[in-house]
Amino acid sequence: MLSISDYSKSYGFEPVLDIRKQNFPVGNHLIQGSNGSGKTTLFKSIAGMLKFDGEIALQGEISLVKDPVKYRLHVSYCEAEPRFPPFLTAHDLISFVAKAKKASKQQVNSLIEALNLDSFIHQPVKTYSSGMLKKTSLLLGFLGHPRVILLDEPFTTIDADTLKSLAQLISQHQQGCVFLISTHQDLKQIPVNFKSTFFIDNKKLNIRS
Amino acid sequence: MRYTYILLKLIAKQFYIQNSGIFLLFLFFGLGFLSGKEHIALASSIAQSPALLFYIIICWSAYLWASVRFVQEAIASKENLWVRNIIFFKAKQQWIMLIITQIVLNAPIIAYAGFISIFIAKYNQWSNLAMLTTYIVLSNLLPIVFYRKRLAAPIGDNKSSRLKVRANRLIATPVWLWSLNSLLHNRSFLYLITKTLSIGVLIAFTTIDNASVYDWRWLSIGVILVSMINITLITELFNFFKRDVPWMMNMPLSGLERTFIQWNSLLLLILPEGFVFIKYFPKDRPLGLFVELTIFALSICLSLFASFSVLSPEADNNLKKYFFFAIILFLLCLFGIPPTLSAFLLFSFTLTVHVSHYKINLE
Repeated sequence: MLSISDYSKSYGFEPVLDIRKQNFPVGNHLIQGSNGSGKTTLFKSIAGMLKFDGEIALQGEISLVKDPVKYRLHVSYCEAEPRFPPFLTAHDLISFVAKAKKASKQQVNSLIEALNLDSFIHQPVKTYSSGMLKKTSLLLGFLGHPRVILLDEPFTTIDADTLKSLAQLISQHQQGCVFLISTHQDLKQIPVNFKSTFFIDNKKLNIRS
Repeated sequence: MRYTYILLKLIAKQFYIQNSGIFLLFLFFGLGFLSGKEHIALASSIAQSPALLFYIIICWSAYLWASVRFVQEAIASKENLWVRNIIFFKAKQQWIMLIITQIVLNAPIIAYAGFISIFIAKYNQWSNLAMLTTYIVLSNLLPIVFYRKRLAAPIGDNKSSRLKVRANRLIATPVWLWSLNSLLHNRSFLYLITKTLSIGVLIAFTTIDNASVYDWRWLSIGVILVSMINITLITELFNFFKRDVPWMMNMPLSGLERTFIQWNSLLLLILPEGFVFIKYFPKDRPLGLFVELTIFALSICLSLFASFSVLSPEADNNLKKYFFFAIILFLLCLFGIPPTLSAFLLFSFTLTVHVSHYKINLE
């Protein structure tokens, strides 16, 4: 569903990542790599936030290079350490993104309930803990009708209940959605089944059996 | 409307909060120094003179540039990544939201333009009214086109940074070019804008200069303005020496030697203005004035640089301090204090600050 071809990304003269061809079918895919190996760079490139050389496309027809707005509508990215303006509330952020991504009220409410945002949704972001920030970011990621969801370290800073809810959300969406998930946590503690595991090493994305 | 309100809270409100100091200063000068009659006289003059209106538009453009830059930084910042979703709203909604935001940002310009247009209508200066209206419309519409383009595109630009790195590698080897190299690499846009503005002002002052009408003070005021415009780049140079090469402190160099390494970067910085000044310097003015004014400009830049060693460039009230510094220079000039004398005082201050600062740090 998500295809990457002739991808390369450099910062200045420093090449960071080089992927000749890689397809990600629907389902959960784990992306692993040491610190600074290029996981976040790959996620940001797929999310259309970083410029790169090459091509990334959805179902081989919606190209990030040729039609970035249409492509980005179907791709969500949740950062490892999300940040939001301190003076806004989660409600402001959610209503804005929900409207933009054409999410139904029902979807918004069910996500708020699933991730347990009710208690702080009307409080300003400056009062949030890192777990609350993470929950807000995860909710924004699931809004609308994404076909690709990129989760950068989604299991850190969240409590056990939210971890379960997140795993449930992932399993609900995995039938029609590509999940690329990066984590440094022990996989035994994560209640998510991965279709494949990739490892970024020496600037290459390698599949692991 | 709710989404526009979020955008206004995120961008317009923050813009006014961050620039409240300068708005207060303008208000202070506008209400405190000019009486109602003087305001009317000024507006009448602007209404009747296309040249004056043009100068006002140039000032407004500087403000517009600042507001556009603010929005650009806001939509690219890490904490506002979610706002990039605005591109998924219907085109009409996007335009409405962004135009309202831009109108609120441009409110001071629009308000003053409205005030001037009353006098333009009174004196039947219809071409001026057309110029003013066109400017106001374009200043509210063109930024939207730019914002939408920015929102649709990725934040980073790989290709241009590669070019920059290549260009920098060519010139980066000698130590004496490090600071300029860093400036061109990290703040190339700021460099271009500042240089365009300062060179534009310099050309305007040298072209308008008329020895039979104005005395040396005219060019001196131009030189003060040009030097003060460079404060943005001087701040960047200071930050470079403070943050990027702090290890220079450990090198076995005397305070005087370190001072000269840093001054060298300032000489390089104002080199473009130097060339322009040579080319456009009025022929009916004595060569001595050219030398005097060049030294004066250098001493202003050097004292600005030195002042950062005393005042942090990030301090909140710096804008006010440097504004008063410029006013003092203007007044010294208007009262007929020769630029050489002012330059000598500034130079002494600079050298003292530099050498003592390094001695303190080394100890």
